[in-house]
Amino acid sequence: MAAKLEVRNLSKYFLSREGEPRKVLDSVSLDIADNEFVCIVGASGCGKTTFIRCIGGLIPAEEGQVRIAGRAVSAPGSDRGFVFQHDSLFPWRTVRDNIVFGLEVRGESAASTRPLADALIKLVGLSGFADHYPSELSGGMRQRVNLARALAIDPDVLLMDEPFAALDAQTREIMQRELLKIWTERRKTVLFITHQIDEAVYLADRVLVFSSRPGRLAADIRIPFARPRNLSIKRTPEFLAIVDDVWKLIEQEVVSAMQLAD
Amino acid sequence: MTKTLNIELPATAARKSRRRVFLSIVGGLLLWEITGRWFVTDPILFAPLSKVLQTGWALTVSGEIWKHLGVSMAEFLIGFVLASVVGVAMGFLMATSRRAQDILDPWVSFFYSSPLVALTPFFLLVFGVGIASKVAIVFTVAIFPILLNAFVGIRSADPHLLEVARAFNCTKRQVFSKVLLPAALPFVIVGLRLGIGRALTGVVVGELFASQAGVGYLITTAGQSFDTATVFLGVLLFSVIGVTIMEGLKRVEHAMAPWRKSIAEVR
Repeated sequence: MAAKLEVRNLSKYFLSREGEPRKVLDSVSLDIADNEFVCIVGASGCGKTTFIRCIGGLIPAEEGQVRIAGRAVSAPGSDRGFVFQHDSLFPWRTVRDNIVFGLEVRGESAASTRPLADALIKLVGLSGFADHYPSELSGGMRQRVNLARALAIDPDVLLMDEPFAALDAQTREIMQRELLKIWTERRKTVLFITHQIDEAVYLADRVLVFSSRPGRLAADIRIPFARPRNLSIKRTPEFLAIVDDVWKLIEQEVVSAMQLAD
Repeated sequence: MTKTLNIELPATAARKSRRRVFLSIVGGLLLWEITGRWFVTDPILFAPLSKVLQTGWALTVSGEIWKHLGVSMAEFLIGFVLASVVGVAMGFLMATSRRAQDILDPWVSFFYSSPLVALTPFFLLVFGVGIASKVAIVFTVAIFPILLNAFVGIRSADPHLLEVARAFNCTKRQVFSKVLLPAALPFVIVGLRLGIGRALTGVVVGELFASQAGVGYLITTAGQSFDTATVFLGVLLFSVIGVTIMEGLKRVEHAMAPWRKSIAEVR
């Protein structure tokens, strides 16, 4: 079966302060099948966010190729929906107007997008909040809007860049479960970046482990748990064993990343 | 047994607060009246509120007050609207074009910090004692805070939101209209508010310096004939104009930026 998202030998360089090119992504290749949910984990600074930004077309990659459903892409496009880590809702738009932003940009009228907006609001569990402004919502609710906004353009691939990183632990767990529920209803090919190993193992069909400096694909782990998954699987020995395996792969880098930060 | 909490309800606190504001205003006006009536009775040195209002009524009946108000308002409005349009446009230009910024920035910084109202004699020489010289003064003193705030407003747009616009494939024009413009709006309003204050000062200074009509003219001529009540009336008129316009701007802000109101409500 042809892959929905294909990445071939993607390399990315940043200029160091001295003006020397420094490799941050080293020839990363991967294939994600249609409707597959793939998570990338890695220590902070391993280049995973740079990687997803390259795929989104937000920053250019110097080498390599990205293909969505067979078409090579290098700039942003509506075949990819981006869910941002930061609170990236427009504060001057209501929930509904934030959700339809991508459609409005394409020139669709407010009247024509309204049914879809209402359906998405319901899907992400925000019924009754359509006319609220982001400042009136909690962090978890804002990320629901963020997700709905990306889904609204009906992309081939959903790119999620640590969308739950800023949430408190309990809200994060709820959002993970909600995300799987939504994904079950609206099957999408998902690439999800996180630094939380348990989040990756809980959500994904496959967990890709990134190693640091430069970012490289270190492991590709198939997650065997059946769906739908309950949050309680996080406490099973099988789950913990996989988390432990991933942890061992990146432990050394997490420690050295922390030492660098000190 | 439930313990009674000694906490004031917000509604009660608001009512008390409103009452204090009311008492403060009434008390101040009373103090003014009492001082003028019993303590400083020399009509050259002071005038009680009642005398000022009486003067105002007489000028209203004679129709003279409308003439002066009309001239002052015209000077203010023409100068201020021109300053707003040109200032916002130039601020946006500077914020979006590196070249325009490099060329304009040193001059804008220089003029923003200069006491431009001191150019009044120059404008009177160039444009005469009529309305045009005051419009020129108002425009000159009001434009720089407006320009600078519009510039800062565009520049302080959240880079995350600009990235969202890019991810959703916005054209340059859409980035401007859907992200930069709404992000800059609160700053533009602040600039306009500062501009209003400066513009009013411009009207006053221009008219006091040399004029044939206007509230400032009213004040000057009254002062020359030792008519303190009319001087006070003129100042009162300027204050009323200022407060009214500020209130109007607040309305505009609420209408154009309702999301900011919702922030205030949540707080």
